[in-house]
Amino acid sequence: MFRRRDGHHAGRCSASVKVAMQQKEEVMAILQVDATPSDGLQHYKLAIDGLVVAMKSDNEGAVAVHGDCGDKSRHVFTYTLVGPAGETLSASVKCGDATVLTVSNIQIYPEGEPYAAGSEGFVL
Amino acid sequence: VRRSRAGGALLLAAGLTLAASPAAAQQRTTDTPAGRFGVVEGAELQITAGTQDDNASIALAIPTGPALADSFALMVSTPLRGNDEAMPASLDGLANGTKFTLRWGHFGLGTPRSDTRADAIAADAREACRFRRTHPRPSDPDLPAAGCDSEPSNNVVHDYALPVYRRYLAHVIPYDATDFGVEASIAFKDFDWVDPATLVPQSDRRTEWSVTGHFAQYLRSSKTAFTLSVGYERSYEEVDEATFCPSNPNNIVITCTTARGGAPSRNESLLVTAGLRHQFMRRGELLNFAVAPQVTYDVLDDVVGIDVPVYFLSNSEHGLTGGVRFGYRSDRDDHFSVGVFIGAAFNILGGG
Repeated sequence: MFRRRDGHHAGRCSASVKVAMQQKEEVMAILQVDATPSDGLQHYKLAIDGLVVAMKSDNEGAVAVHGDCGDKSRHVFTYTLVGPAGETLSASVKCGDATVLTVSNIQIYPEGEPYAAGSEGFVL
Repeated sequence: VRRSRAGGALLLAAGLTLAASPAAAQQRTTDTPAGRFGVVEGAELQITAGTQDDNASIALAIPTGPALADSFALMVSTPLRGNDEAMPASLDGLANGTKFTLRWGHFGLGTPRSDTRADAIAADAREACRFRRTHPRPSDPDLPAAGCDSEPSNNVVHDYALPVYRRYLAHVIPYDATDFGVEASIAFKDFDWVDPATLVPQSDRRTEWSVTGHFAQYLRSSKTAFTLSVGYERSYEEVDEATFCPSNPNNIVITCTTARGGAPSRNESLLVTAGLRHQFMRRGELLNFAVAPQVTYDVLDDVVGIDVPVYFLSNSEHGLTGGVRFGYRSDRDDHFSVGVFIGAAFNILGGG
């Protein structure tokens, strides 16, 4: 399952950075993504706001999005799985220490084989 | 003729993991080649050993796992029982020698996208889910314990909007996934034979090699896969054993020799194979009917083979597992064949 959580301001989030773009400062939040694929899953791809989450072989990754932890900005998490029917993936997204999204047990069904896909909204 | 009879019960099951790179892989946020390389840096080398088909093997691989698109492996295998007796079911001409294999594979999967049409389908499915909570029917799927808004969109659309589930997937996934790779092998094999005229033993080592490429594309809108593979192999085939006796004009007791009476002959093949795997659906529901035709052309021998399995027998555990198979071979007197098969499950991913 996933939970939308209203973010809470706790000062400037440690996971955010300021970047200068076109002489304007923008705040970027670095989101940490942790995935748990089942053993037989062949491949998966995750994205937040259209940006690919660079996952490592240990199924952890990160992506930078516009916004700040706790600023209640809206974002979209999208996913695609490839594998045989019955395989699953769970994932969680963290901004700083706060878990902003949990998606549990995304399943590949016989009718969708070899795919599963979807999108979930969340706020920082 | 010498035959090695090393114990076939040898079972190697060792696993060793070497850290190729400390956990210093940089996190990158784009899908650039540099980003992917950074990800590969975080992988670990793995050495594994095992036995299969009477071959001992050792593999050096970067176990990338499902998160990464590329995979690499270097494998070494050798027959446990000597060159003569290893006989794998794969009909791999190189399997009977010490073989080195380098394998690379790539899985192409588009970045999932947020799509308004997909969002509308998911919203309708959640609404249907909420309606079913207050108006349940016996045929309904189990309601999500945590509520209709807590389930992943993929699962809710499947459970409450099945007729448009494939369309939903096609909206989220930007293009069909592809899986392609190349495998190159080289093998060294010792051959023994006798000169049939003099019965003098001969031996030589021959080098065999093969290169194979494969490609598969999986459609989003239907349960369909297209496959293509091209493989070239140069191997050597031993002549059959025969019994040779020296001339015996005086009719005395002589010693005969059973051996191969000639040098191995070179055998080349270039196979091009195209296939389709498809399971039929109606209104989003799978039917117990699938086909997996495959056409193979042996370019060097100008032979065509066609195999058309039609699946319509199913069991509850493994789906479609049987049916009728139609065959054609251009080099046979009886070009066409037909038979019943049971036990081979239909698999959209091919299963090897």
